[in-house]
Amino acid sequence: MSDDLLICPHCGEENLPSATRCLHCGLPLEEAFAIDGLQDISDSLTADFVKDEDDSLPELFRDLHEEADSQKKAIKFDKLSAEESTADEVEQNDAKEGSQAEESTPEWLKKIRQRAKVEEDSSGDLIKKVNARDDIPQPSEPSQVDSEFEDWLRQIRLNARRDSIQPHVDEPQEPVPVEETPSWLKKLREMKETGEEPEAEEKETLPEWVKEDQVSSPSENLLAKGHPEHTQPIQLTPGATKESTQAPGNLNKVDEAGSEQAKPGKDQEEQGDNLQTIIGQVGFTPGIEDRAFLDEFEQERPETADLLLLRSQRDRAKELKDMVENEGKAGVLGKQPKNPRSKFFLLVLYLLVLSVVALPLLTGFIDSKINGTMQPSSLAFFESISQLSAEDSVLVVIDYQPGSSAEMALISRPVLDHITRQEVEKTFITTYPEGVWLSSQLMSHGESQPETDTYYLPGAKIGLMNLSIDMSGSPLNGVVSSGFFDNQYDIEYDSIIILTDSFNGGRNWLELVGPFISRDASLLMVASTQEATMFLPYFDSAQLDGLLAGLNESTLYNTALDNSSSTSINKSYQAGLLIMVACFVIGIITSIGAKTRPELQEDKP
Amino acid sequence: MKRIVSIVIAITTGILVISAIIFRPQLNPILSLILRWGILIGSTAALVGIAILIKTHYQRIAVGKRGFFFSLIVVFGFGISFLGGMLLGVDNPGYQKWISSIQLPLEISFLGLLTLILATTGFRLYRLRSWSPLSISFGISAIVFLILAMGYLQALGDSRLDKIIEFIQRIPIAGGRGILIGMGLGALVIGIRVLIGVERPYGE
Amino acid sequence: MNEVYVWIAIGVIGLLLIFIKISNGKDNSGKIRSIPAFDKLDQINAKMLESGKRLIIGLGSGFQNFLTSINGIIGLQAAKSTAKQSLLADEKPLILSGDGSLGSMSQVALAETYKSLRAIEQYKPENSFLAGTTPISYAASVMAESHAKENGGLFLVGHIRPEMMLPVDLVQNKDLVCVVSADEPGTQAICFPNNDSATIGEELYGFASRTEHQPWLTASLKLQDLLRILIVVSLVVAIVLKLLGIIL
Repeated sequence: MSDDLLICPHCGEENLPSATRCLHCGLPLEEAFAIDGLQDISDSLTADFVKDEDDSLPELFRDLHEEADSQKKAIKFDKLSAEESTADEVEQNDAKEGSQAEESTPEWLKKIRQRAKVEEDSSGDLIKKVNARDDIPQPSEPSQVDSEFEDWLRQIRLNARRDSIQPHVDEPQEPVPVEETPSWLKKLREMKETGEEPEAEEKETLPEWVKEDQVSSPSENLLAKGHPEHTQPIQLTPGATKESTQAPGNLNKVDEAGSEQAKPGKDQEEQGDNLQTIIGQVGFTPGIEDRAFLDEFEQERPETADLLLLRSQRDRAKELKDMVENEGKAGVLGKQPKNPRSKFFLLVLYLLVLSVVALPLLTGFIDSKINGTMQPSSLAFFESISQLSAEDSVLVVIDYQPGSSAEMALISRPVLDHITRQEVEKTFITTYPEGVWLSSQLMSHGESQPETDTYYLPGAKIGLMNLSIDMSGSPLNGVVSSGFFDNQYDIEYDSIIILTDSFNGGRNWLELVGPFISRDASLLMVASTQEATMFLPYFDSAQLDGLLAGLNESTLYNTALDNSSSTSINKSYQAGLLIMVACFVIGIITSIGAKTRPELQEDKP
Repeated sequence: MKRIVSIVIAITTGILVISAIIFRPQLNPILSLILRWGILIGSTAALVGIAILIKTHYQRIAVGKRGFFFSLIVVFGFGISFLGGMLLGVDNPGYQKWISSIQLPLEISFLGLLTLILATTGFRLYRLRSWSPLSISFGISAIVFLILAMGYLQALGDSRLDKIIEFIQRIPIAGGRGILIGMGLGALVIGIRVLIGVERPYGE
Repeated sequence: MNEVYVWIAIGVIGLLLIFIKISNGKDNSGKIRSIPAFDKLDQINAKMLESGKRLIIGLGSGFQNFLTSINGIIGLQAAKSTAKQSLLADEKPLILSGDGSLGSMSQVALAETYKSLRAIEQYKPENSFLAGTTPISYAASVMAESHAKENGGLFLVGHIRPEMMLPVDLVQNKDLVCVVSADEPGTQAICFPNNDSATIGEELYGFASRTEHQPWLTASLKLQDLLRILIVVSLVVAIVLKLLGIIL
């Protein structure tokens, strides 16, 4: 199989070896190609396409044709099939007969007919290509035969595809009763009567709908891309349209230089006459439906099918390439045309929402100081601490990670201040390794805190279970003693305050250790805002004696202690919440009418 | 044989722990012993995991894999922290201050980044999830609870409003508890599967 | 006395599990409703195989993780099934643990899986390791690995904390696939808006039966459903009795 590209003799561009029409100019690469059933028409069409045989065929083909040797053909194709051998015999016989008989017909026609008889399916093309390759260094004969055989098969497939695209080529045109006049002719006659335009006489004219509908169908779009001359409106009568008109197809004169494009602005009458000739040769008779006329006209043109096929293949290849590139990626929202009005409306809406958010903060309309009363759980916490005295001791559990230490330090600061005021002895214990230095950070905030020891409880959940054993096994209730690794410590406690930022951490303390602590001791918890809700059932069921959760409750706790709270912290906290609300609201507004990601359109809970 | 031994150990340990939790006063010493073994093994596993992590990063540096510079930073940071803790002691206030001054800003900024992502996610919620009853209820509940968290309504001091707010704030408890009960059931069944030897996460 | 009740309850549940398994026989289908997140996971595995990229499996975060010992086991099953499916893949799955014991168990599980497939040479210790000892460091490590060029997707399963939203967002921005199967309600709520493949509630436990199709796993899911029904009935009965004035 040869990889050589075919060079179009008209425009000089490269084409696929199997192409019969140039992709760029649309003109046939081989003038002698004939489709079954259109042989006569193609002969007459070629008369219009090609003025002079010598001028139409490029020099290369001409030389090759002259040098064609029938014996060479017989030897080369003897292996292919028995039918080909008989065809070769027929070809030889015909060659003899043809040479003797006809001298009146032009040379080029003789050759075409000769070749049409000899060639079966695509063998003619194959011969041509074989001849064309004579000038090219050829590989060894067996491989050459193999490559030619493959070419032959390829050509067969191409023809089969072409045949499938043109199903009605062989159907004879049914004559329409002469009595019926087509609507376009009627219109023309009406126009004649009104005297707006000169008489059309017997000339067949294409009505204006042809001009309007010229680019309405996909095939016409393809034609528009490749054959602009075909989409130009056909004007058979002068003054019918202001657009430049051209007859389709055959009016593009192929000059010796090989220019492919028709020259617009030709004489309309001459174009009309040529079209008449074409229509007559094609066999269209008046009375055919307008649309059917155009469709049939398109079908009769062999070049359309090739171009369609090639371009559809190209489009499919492009689609496949896009699919392969986008594989594995999430769907991308298609770009929607942006309406300028909607953009302005959205901008106004955004400014409105932002002003609602920013204005209260800037003007101080909303008092950043938190007012109100503490929740019952916070009140219980406050009272529990208030009941402690100087002889009591508190076990403070640090059970939060460093990332949330800022929030936890803010929330627990008033609690530590309260404990300090009560002059209660406190001991720190932590389940995180980082808790060792978090406790020092905790103690450094707020009122002066005396230095206290921080114990590390290893093992997380298992360590808590071990602690519960120590608690339950201790002879003195209210003492935590551990003999782990000889690190004995006895911690007396009258209250346990758990500082936690995660629900799981607090829950393990409540469920693993809580049942085994002394009944006189209270179990209190300081938690972050998001975990408050999950701990409330423990407070309701009396497993928890007090719960202080969130920055707001902590501020109220501070107020109850007659301490002043930092307004900037509250302000920034409220601003953050407002911005989050604004984000949600703006997101709702902008998403109205917007497309969602394709794979997420079905939301199945 | 190896497989049977591991299964026997797993089942025996599980039964012992459950028995000891249930029959506490009598089996406390056994339970304490098993739990301390568990703490030791867990801590050792953590040390082994850290060693494998350092080894993996070291291999990336040695091979020159793409991004090995970050592995270099990991190994260097680990080395400095480890040596500092060994030499100065974990209780050293200077060492603690030094570690916390690096770790705290890093982790706090990470959580701040999380907040920004949550804000953008809230903005894109309906573009990503389309309009469905679940997503609509999600959005509405988020907005309501954000407004309640601001404290403006509580600051009005209306007792009836406070009761309504308290009621609204307790609504998520039911859903959360339901999920937790389901999770607990799942964990219970998995535990029973481990006890009867069907589930063998320690091997094939 | 209460302790005896606990023993009785555990014994009854164990017997129920065995009974359900026997009644199912060798039925592997289970007739379990489709879980969209895990349906997507099957496609993800095929896509990874096709594209020659690796899947990152996150087993859970935090050295001080309190629930790792149970829900991390599901992550190990995920690691095993993914390892089996990626036997012929160019890139093997990368398993990142947030707990030392999980890290060790994941290595053992991987080695055993490849051994059972007669492909022990494909096992590499660097495909499974402890990624971070704290929740934030674990999230940062998963982010760094997710950013690698050879990464094709992320599957988080087990005890996943809310900080894991960061690698999830990173993976989403890179247009890679992501499935999150967390046991914390907070994490589920955070992942819900950003990720269409997030399990809700107890769908986490439905993973193994979908991939392994073992009758024991199916029986345990049915037992869970049965227990849930019992709890619901008992709660309703308790509410009714309380309303009627009978104090329990």
